[in-house]
Amino acid sequence: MAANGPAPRLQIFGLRRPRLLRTSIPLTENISAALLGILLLALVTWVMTTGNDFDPWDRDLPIELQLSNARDIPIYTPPLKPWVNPAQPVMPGAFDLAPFPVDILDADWQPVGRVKRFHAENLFEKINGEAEKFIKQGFVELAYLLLRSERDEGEIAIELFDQGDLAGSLGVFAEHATGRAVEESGGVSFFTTGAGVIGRVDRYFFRAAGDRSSDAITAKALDLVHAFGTLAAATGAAAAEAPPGFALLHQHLGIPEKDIQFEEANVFQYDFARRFWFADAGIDGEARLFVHIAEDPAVAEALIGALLEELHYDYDEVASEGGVNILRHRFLKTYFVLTREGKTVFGLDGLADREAAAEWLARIREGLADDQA
Amino acid sequence: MTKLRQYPHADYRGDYLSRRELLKRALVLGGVGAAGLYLACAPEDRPWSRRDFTGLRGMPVEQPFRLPDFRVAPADPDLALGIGRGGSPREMLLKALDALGGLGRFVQPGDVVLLKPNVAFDRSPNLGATTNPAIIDTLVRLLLVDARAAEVRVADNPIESPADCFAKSGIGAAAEQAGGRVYLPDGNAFEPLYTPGAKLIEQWDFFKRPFTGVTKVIGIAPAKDHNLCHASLGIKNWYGLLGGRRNQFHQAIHEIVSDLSIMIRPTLSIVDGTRVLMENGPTGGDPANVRDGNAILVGLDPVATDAWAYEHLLLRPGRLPDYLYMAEQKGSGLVNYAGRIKVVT
Amino acid sequence: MTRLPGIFTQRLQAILAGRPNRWLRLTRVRILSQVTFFALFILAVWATWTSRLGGFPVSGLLELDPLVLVSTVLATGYVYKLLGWGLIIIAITFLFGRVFCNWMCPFGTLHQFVNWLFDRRPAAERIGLNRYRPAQSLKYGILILFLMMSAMGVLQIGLLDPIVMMYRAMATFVSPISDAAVGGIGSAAEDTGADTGWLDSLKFAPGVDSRLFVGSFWIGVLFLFFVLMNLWQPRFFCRFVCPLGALLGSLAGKSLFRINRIVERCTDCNLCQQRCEGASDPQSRVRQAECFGCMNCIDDCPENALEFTLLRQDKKQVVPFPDLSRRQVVFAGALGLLAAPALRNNGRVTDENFSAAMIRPPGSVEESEFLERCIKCDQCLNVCPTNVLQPASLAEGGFEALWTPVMNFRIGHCQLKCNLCSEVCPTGAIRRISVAEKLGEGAYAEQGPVRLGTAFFDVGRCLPWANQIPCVVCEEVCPVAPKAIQTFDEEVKDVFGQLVVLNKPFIVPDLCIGCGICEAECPVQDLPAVYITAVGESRSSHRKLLLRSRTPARPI
Repeated sequence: MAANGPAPRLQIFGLRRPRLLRTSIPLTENISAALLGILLLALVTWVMTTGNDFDPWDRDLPIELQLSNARDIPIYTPPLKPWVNPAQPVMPGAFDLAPFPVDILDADWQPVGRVKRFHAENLFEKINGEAEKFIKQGFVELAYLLLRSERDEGEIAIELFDQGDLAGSLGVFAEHATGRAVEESGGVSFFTTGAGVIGRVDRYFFRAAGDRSSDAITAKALDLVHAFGTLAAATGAAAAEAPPGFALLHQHLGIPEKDIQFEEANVFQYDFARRFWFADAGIDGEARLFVHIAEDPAVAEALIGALLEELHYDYDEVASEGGVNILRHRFLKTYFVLTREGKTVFGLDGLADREAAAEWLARIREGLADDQA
Repeated sequence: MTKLRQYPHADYRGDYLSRRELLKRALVLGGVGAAGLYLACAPEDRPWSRRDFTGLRGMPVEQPFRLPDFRVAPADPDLALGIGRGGSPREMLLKALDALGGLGRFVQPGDVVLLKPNVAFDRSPNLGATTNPAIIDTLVRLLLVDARAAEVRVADNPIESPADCFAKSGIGAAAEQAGGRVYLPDGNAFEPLYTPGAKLIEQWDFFKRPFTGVTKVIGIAPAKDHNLCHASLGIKNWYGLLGGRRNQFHQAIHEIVSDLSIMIRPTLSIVDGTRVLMENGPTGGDPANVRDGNAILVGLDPVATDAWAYEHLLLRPGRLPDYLYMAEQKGSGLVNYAGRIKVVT
Repeated sequence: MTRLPGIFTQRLQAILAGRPNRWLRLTRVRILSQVTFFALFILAVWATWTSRLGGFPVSGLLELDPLVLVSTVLATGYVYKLLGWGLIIIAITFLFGRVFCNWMCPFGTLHQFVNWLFDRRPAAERIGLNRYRPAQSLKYGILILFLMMSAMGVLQIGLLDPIVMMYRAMATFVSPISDAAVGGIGSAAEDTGADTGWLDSLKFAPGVDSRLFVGSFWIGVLFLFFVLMNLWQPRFFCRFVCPLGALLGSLAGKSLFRINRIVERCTDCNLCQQRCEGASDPQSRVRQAECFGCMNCIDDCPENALEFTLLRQDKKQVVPFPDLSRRQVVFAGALGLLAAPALRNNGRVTDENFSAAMIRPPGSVEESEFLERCIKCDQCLNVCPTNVLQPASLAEGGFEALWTPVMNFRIGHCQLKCNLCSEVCPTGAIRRISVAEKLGEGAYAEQGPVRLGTAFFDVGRCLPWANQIPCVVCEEVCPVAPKAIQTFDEEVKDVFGQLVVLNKPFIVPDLCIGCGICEAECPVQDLPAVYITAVGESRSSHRKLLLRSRTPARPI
């Protein structure tokens, strides 16, 4: 088979005319060829029809699973850390002082470090042995800040205790204030110490202590008292939140706040007596009013029964008429008056003159009636 | 006397070069040589010179193109935004268009219209990350049947695989079933665009292929939260026409978005408020983040459109995103939409 | 009845009258069959794309391949999904002999076509070239080597299996070149204003940038080497190298139909060898293990002495089984035994030394299982819409994992709701998963999503961390909800006195699925500031990063 076309060296393709050499082609071959041709056609047709044979949702997430995708994985994003110019002194507003009022700072007194906050679990890290006292009285949080004088006049450490409610702060203050001359100014009850001031306002109790005893420190301490006065205004309707016992003594009987104390537990040294309000009513000597609101009349009655039982060890029963129990201390000869109205247990303790009791009892009853009205 | 040598080639007769042939040869060689010399050494400003002394002539030079202004002057110059509320997406779109005077005001018979939806991610439509395909379907049909446009094209350059994004968002199928034509981007479809006045994207690779012969351009963007620039609305939608290294834009995103507002002047800016992605944008992925805004906006002023959408669809109070104020400064529109909107419910 | 064209009725009448027809010959149908299967193969490769896949049986030829069936059964002990179709070809071989090689195999078709197109040698020379060579027994040694390795759990048939080589070369070598050419023509034509949209249907991967496959050069070199060897020895690959041909040849010995030489008519002219494809010596005792059933010899015999027959087979004129010496078998087997542990020595399969870059497609099984199944057909590379899957080089897994799929996140990313690679894998190296399983939704919520790896930040290169430049592309494109990239937001005064808000990103590995879009989109392109490594991939219990997930709703 010689190649037809150009010489071999110039050829690119090698195509030749096909030459069939066989002479006989059996019919079976024709038939098989035809059948195979048809089979191929059928295969191609089948392949082309499979093209649309699919479910697009196999390649995507079904709608009902997308809805269940709305799972709650809460993500905490810390807030934007704002730019703080390291060179400038910290002015109020640029420094997060909460919960201290802004007025505690001035040009002379600047904070050292940040406000440190303590909760019940780590309070002991700050005030060690005293922690229990505060926690017993409903302690929530302590905010601590150190102020330093720009004029080298010393440092003041301020502690602001959030006691949760009026009762708590009154109770804590009462423990600190025994035997002290308590003053009041702008809603703040306080007394000064050698190098600072201790006081309370609304639900807060505060202590400010300087590192030395000086006029500058004392002056600053009084400034702080004025500053804390804003806390009273800030927390708003304190009167509305006043616990009922306090409200009775303060509003109805007109006893000033500084004369009202609160004992959380172990009242009269009895472990079943809790949450008694005491008021120094200006009656002779050491006489005190007390008021306790129980959960319901039955509990109040039980409390009275328990009290009377215990009191019999030290007191003699003098009279018991119209629900009013009058007892007299065997040695001190003072009177203890105890009665109940509804769920309120009240009376007087350490009374010298027994006649004065009736008047106070009446006033308390009036106050309770007002309450219910 | 020396014997004469026998020269074996004594009776040789050669075929000698004639003078004419020699001259011809010299001329040809000389001509070729001279031509080569000219091409190689003639100063660069002469015609046909191939000299490149500094090496800079051989560098490729991009020939950017410019986009025409696709805006149509409205009947009422104070009306910037039509808002349709209440009903299906189709009904809301018709209401919004009617508020502006009907689609026929803007699209003439024989126009070639390009629609630019947001098909950036392979999300299904209910996740609010892409444009609602029902709006594409309605709009294509309106353009082809009512406005008698010659051709409607739908194009976008998604961030993920284009075929998958068009398929999973439903926009590819919606566009084609309504009679439109989808353009997918590939390596040869981009050319550099020149935008005079833009600060950062004065020249950038642009998806040019669908724009040849186009006379009207309509953008249809969903309303989305965006964690970097606070909102992805009508103006940010044009980002999808750019190519190249778009991921650099996040370094100055507000400047870029305000540049986008002058890069293209569309006929209409539509913001789709049927599925508003309120959080976790722009990718979304959680149907709980999507709310029905019950509005479709058709705007002639892209800045005012975005401002209204930010306040009423994304429900964000306070200061608008920076890029809107920057776009206003560049002359793309006015942020204050009071008195320039018409709501049809 | 309508008037049929004259020539048609003539032929029909001839057939019905019993006179044979020269057109309906087996060689004609064979050419039709070759063209059909080649076209179906091209259709399969063309349809292996996200917008075209539909329900086409794109892996059909691979599933029909009996060598894939036999070797995966040896390696894994099971028959995956549709691999049972390989029995169809074995059945055909039992019936008709090694006809697959010349009627169906697209690589064989390619070899025969190249030979036909370019062979200028005269007939006498071709007769000599088509003689049987003893070296043709090499392919049986290769087959035994591979099967022994498969039995040891090292599947390497994909290197030389013809169907696999065709798929791989088409996907990684031919299709990018072809697409670039079509794209170039299209853009040149666009400049003249013509509408070139229809050219997209000629592309293998339309609507994306030109694809690239790292290492495809060597895949192409291997492929072209075998194709060009045809110019020296016709059907070089099919006769000397092909392990699938060796397998079918071993099974064809006692096939029902075969080429038979009617000795009484034979004049020993040797003309039957001038176009013999298999070099099976039809002029003497036909070697069943080499005969491709091309039927050329039947056409070339002027004495009609050759036929393809069921009955009338002359047992003296056939060599049923391959010409293999015992020594060859033992050597090949021993080499196979040795090769498996030799390849595993580099520790890339076990967990002590696994490569950080060995990030496999979603749905992949554990590495040692993977290498028992992956035939390197690279269909997954072909279908991947983002071009993230690449043929592995020697660096990722050594020779054993060469050309298996790994992800290169500089080129693309793994799209969140795409499971196409798992759909096209014929052997189950990438197990078929639904999108729900990939995302860990619905019934799969307890096992959590499929994780390909974990992302990490290089804070020395990240713009907000290292350079005070705002950027947060990675967080923006992270597709999971809630995002696996969260930020520390800080306002700083940068070195130029500008007050900027920096969103400094960090990874939440409990949520990260390793999809890689953060690395793909990071503007520090060359060595991205956020990158994915294989640790934490969910397919391997030994390659975990975290002990447990801190959020029970997204388990690890």
